[in-house]
Amino acid sequence: MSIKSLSSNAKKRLSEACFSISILVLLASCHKQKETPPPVSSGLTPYEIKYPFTFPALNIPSDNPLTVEGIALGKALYGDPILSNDGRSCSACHVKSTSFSSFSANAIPHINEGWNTKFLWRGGVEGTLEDAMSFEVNEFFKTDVTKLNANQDYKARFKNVYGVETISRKDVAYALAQYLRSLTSVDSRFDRYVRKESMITMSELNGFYIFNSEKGECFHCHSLGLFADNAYHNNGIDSIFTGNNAGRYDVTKNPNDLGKFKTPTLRNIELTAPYMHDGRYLTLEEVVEHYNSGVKKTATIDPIMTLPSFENGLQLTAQQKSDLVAFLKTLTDTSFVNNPLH
Amino acid sequence: MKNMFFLSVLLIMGLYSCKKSDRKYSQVVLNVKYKVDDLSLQKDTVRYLNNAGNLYSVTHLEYYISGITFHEESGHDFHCTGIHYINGFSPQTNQILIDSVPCGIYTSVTCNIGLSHALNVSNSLTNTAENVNMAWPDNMGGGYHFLKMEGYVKTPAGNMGYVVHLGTDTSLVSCVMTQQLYVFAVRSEFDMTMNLNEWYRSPAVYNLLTDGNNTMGNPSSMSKIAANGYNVFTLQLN
Ligand code: HEC
Ligand code: HEC
Repeated sequence: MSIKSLSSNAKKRLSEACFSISILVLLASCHKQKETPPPVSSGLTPYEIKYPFTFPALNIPSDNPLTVEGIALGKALYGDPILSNDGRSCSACHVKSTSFSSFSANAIPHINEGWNTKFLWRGGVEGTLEDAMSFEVNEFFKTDVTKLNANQDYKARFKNVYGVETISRKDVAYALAQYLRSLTSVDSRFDRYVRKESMITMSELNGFYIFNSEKGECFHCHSLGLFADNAYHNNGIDSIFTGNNAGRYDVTKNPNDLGKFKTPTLRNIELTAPYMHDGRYLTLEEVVEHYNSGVKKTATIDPIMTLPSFENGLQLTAQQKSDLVAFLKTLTDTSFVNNPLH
Repeated sequence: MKNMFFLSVLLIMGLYSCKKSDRKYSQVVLNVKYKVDDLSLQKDTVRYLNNAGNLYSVTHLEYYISGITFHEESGHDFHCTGIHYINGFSPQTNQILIDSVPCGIYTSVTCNIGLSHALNVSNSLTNTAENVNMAWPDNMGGGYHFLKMEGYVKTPAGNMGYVVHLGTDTSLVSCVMTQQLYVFAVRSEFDMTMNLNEWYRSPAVYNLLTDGNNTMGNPSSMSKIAANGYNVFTLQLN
């Protein structure tokens, strides 16, 4: 039998079959493509995050699409001591005016967390923001959901956002994740300079040059855009790795991880003193002096830190050091800390 | 009748996939593997010896493969357009799939480690986290790192970090893999093995202690390493 001998009906079915097969093949070969944002239930208002092309693509889990209502719910929970058993709320330690960090607790700021895949200084949680929030709700706050379920307002809001009759810890974690994902900072003076909307000073520009070249080497870990690389490094602040300073080793027990910590973002760094995992430096000048002259060479120090330029410290002049600090301050985003939605 | 119908669907599909010419096509899979001369590649152990006498370890290995070309005996070349990001320590990135390579006998495969001039422009690649972290600073020429190879090298005073980074158009690596390949099966798999010691061997021995433990700001170090890269890969039938 040849194709010619097929009836026109069969031919039609044949071409339909071929068509659907090719669609299947097409779908299969496209499985790696970025998914379009997941659809939201009716009655909810989708929320879209805008970010610069210099950021990696943002992945939003398909079971937690961003909505205006979900973000507002997360925000309410974040500020409510109802989540804890000792009167604390998240916002007790993560204070908005300091980019959701706090001086006394040295809490990690919440800024562009949606791009994060490694959480906490030692990477105690890896995965999505939902995973991190699940840790906060289950392990850290041990949230008692009976209190939330006794609250008619929360019950109604969770029903609206997640369609649930009874609030679970998972729902709480998901709402918090929506809120944290919405905390994006993309409008610092440096961002505006990159968008060619405004200028930065000569000193700030010199500082940027040091940051983004072999002179300072900062860009290798604090990659432009997010100013973090979602990886662990030993940046040479210690020579003995006991107690609080063992770093990622605490999680992996691999001696090659001694003294390694997650690279923190430098966005809003001016607002988030003190610095490093234990808050040992009070000012950016002290941090720069560490990189300039205080790097300690140990078995796990990042190879980047033993470049020739780091062999005897960066050897920056007083002017260059203040240029570098000036550049770091261009990463301050006042619209972020003043945003009424945050 | 029903059977005949499905048979002809299969037949037509077969014809359809060969429509481009009368040739058949094969899906070629290149499994990227690593070794250091006779040793297997293990992260974090200072145990490899190169031709310059450096004892070294590897902590980090990332690079791009592009411009893969299959060369046929007849002189015909088959060029692939894909760009492949590879992290030596993350297995899922170490497989290169090339759809529809024309069936035939190939005598060699060439490729580049790095990106061609047209693509080596800041933000030209999709903004995956990997690509973003591979950016080469604009004030140093822009584009992307072609290769990031890092670790420690033993010195009389203890271990010292080394950072072999390649970037900018002049350090594009041209690799040649001479190997007779019979590409006839529907799917043909080959191993493509990088011997890390080749980076330091020939045409010029590279000594991490005297030629520089940091290549990035040093054009002559970069070109020496880039030239040594011509034979880092070999192909094996799998
Ligand atoms: C007692 C103060 C305190 C409270 C209350 C608190 N945090 Fe934290 N938070 C911290 C500290 C300190 C860290 C850093 C701890 C570490 O890495 O070891 C941190 C880290 C985090 C991180 C990791 C961020 C990153 O980029 O790695 C997230 C996310 C977070 N907190 C969310 C929350 C949420 C949500 C709540 C409320 C459910 C909360 N925190 C309540 C002090 C606090
Ligand atoms: C090898 C990777 C690496 C390089 C290179 C690097 N950093 Fe860091 N940076 C880190 C890590 C990791 C931390 C956190 C360390 C800790 O908490 O113990 C950090 C912390 C910081 C902090 C404190 C952030 C906070 O929230 O506490 C600042 C500021 C900083 N780095 C600036 C710089 C500057 C400026 C340069 C260039 C001179 C630079 N870094 C180079 C990895 C690096």
